[in-house]
Amino acid sequence: MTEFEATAGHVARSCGAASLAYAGGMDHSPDDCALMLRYADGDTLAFETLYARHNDALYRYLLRLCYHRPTAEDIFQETWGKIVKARKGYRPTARFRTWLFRIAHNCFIDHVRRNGRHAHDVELDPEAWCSEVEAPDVATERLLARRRLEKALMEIPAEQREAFLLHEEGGLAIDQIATVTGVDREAAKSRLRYAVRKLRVAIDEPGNTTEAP
Amino acid sequence: MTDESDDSRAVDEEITKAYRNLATERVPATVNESVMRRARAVQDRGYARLTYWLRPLAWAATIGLSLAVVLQLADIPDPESAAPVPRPGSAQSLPEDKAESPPLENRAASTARASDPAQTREALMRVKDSTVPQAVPARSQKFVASEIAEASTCTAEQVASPETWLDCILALEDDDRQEAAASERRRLAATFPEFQPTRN
Repeated sequence: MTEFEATAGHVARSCGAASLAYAGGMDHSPDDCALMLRYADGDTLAFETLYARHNDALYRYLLRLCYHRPTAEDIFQETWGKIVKARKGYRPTARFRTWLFRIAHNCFIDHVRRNGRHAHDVELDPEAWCSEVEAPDVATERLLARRRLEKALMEIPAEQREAFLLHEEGGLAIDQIATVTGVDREAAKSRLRYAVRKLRVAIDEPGNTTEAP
Repeated sequence: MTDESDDSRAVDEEITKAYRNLATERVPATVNESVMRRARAVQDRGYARLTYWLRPLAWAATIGLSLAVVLQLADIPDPESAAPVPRPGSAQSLPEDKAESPPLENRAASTARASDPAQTREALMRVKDSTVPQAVPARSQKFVASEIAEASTCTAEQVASPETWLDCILALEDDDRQEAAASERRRLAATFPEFQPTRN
């Protein structure tokens, strides 16, 4: 592979369509970088498209990172505020989603430094998601599974949880998770593996979520 | 390639599915509104900075254009004063006419020389009809009279009215100055086209 091909491949990966792991059916054209550049040129509609594409994923990432809804909303708004402020100097050198989650991560770190350990008083209510059409026993089983997963997510270390959330919500690969969190690739990979292992245990064996390191 | 295999091994599908079932929260509408308002406000601020200068600029342009129009209007001459201004060169307009039509004048002059004064006058009137196409406007008659007086044999007092001018012409004919008389007749006819010479 020539240097040019490698560069072109990098740019295509950086600015191409977002490869969300669980975003089937999403329309990716125009790509995020183009939308951001259009917004920098004054196109507010481009920002609306960009925002609609990423807002929920970022919100869920922050919600489960903080486990405190008002804090998550504050950091969410602060993150988008920084995106808005940085629009003029934006250069599509990296994937937009990686950039977005890196900003969110930094905002979260700043918040923790300013306020100390954040409170875990989130009122995420798994019962609210029970389907009315499900049979009672199925609904109960599903509800219990959700509760176990939510509990496991809350209990695992924040770094591992963040790696998992970046993978699930951001659709980021291990290298990108490492970039966002500012650690090397191996650290990011092991964090993600530990998180998944603990969540697996939590789902398979109810009530046991603390055996892994 | 390594990344993809690592990723696929890192998170199994069951965990992912369970998480997707769990994490269905959406951003509250108020937060969405707040972010979008901020994004729009930043763009509007840029536009507002532009429009800050737009209004004074528009006023300045309007005032400047109005001044230009007023000055241009001031330069347009009054229709009353737009009447032909006497020019030194235009005093010779009639002699120029004369130079332009030598055959007719010669014919009239020869006719005047060859016949009696009555025939001469009739011949001259015919010449007038054919050689003096335009009537001089009444308001410039005074000016034309003085101009003609300068170039003619008759005095200014004589050319002031058609009757005295005709007397002068007849006196010239009596003195056998037919050429001068013919010239004066042409000028008389040109200056007073409505005047019909009745005296012989």
